[in-house]
Amino acid sequence: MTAKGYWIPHLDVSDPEGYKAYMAAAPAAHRKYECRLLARGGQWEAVEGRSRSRNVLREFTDYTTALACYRSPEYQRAKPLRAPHSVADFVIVEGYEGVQPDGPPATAARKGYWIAHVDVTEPEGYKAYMAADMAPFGKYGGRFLVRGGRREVVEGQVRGRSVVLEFPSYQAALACYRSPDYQAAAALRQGKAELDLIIIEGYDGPQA
Amino acid sequence: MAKGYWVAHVDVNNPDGYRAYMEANGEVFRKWGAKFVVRAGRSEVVEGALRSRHVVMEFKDYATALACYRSPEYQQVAALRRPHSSADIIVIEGYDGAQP
Repeated sequence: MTAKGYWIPHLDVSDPEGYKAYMAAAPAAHRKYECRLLARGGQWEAVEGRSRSRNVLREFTDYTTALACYRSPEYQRAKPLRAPHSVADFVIVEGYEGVQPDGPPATAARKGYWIAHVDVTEPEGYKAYMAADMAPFGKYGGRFLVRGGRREVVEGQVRGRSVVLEFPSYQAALACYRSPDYQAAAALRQGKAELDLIIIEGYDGPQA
Repeated sequence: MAKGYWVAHVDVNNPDGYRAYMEANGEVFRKWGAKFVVRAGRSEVVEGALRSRHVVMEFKDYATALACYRSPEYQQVAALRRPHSSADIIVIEGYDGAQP
């Protein structure tokens, strides 16, 4: 679970017409870094001190991404379009992921996992599946935590090869499995392997 | 370095008895730096068959994951769970190759 990253610019726009060119150019950077616009130019009140008149809040996957977006060539091309028409106080901050006022669990979507134990009956044929599954896993944000690897069955029994994949959420983990893309890849392992596969929601309670 | 994992599938036949194990294992896992990645969350067995409770624990590496399992202090708490459950457990090395 990584804390998110945020852009918090406060702006005074002196020339709204001139500012429009910036508003047209900036989205290229925002799209590329997949930020989410949480607030922009809505009603506001400076309940203490003072604020500039236009307030924006953008959310990024994490702090590094928020910084990378700001420093990207795309955004650095847009920035000079805003400077002559406005004054800004602009801060990029890391989000909070600790305990919330109502106690743990600490928020943030739980991740999702695939746990698979596989007996490969036709290693040569299975290779085609191993090459084809990467694209759907990538599309749904899957990441291998375990993929084969040395192992020891310390209790009971499981099939011969084990894989653990992490997804951004339980929903993403399920959606990947059900997608036509993955099912097309899965067809390649038909008759070449037997497996037990579970999709399960991750844990985000207090640790030991 | 690749991390190490425990992957456990458990059938609990006496939940009350099993609770004593769950309360006792925290201290051992803390000592070995283990982190719960999965602990009996919502799940769907989409292919094949597995026991009903699923746990994945992460350790800093494979050697630590194995050493924790073999430690006298873990084996002492494991004795609290065995009469109340059946388990399939593997200790496995993590992956640090190219990602999708």
